[in-house]
Amino acid sequence: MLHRVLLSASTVGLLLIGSSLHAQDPGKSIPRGAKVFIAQMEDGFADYLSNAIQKKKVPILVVKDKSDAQFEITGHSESVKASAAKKLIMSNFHSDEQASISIANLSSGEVVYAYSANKKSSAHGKQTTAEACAKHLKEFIEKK
Amino acid sequence: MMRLPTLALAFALVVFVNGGPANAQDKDENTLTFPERAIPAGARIYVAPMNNGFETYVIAGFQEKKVPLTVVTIRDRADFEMTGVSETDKAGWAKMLFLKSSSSAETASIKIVNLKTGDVVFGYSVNKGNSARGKQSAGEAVAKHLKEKVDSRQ
Repeated sequence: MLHRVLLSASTVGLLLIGSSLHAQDPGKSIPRGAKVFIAQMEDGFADYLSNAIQKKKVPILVVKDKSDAQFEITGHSESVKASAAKKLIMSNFHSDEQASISIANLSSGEVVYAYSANKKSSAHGKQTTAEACAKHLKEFIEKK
Repeated sequence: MMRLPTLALAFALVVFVNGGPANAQDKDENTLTFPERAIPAGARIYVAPMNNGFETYVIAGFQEKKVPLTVVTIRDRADFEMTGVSETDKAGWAKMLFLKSSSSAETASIKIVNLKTGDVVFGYSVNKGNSARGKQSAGEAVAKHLKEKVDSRQ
């Protein structure tokens, strides 16, 4: 009798744990068609990112008003233009680019996705890092 | 009958012997220690803005290294807060000429504070003289070592 009671109690416990874990998952993902606001970043990287999201066909909707959004993208971008030394010594005219983004759920305040990109001698400057961010974001959304 | 210098020497010896362990104890109390079970897995952490946007690289490092913490953007909802500084030293002409390297040098230092107790529970600094991926490398180094800390406490 005691064995049965313990068994049923443990089963109920496992079910509760399972349901709570299952309930946490949606909070850590970005659903297709989610409304996303892109916050302003250095050197207008937000515009590059917005264009890259369109180009890479990321299944989210970029909105202009933060109050309409479910998620917010914040980030940082930095460009280092090729110096005279780099041009002369390494015969390289391309800039070095690095960028990092994080996406937060505006209702829970939790960061659900983050990515950083670093491109040495970037062929297309900021466009390259923005498209890298968009590509990986798309993979993350479609994987879920 | 003991002479006065002998007595003084004996007294000094007694004071030294008694004072030794006491001093050692004081040193132990002053040693920087981090509390046990400092950062539990699943804890909510707020990463405060740092110079050069380094906080976003750290958060991306968390994702890359699968650090078992939940990053929140609202400080009031966090259990812990990470603060820090970061510095980048770009490659100069001499480095390019002599070392044929255009990689930057990165330094960063962070600390994590328990917001309830105010205790510093983790601290780490990283220095990459020739960083292959700039701030990304430094951010991922921070995340990797933090993960080891969180994992070891499970």
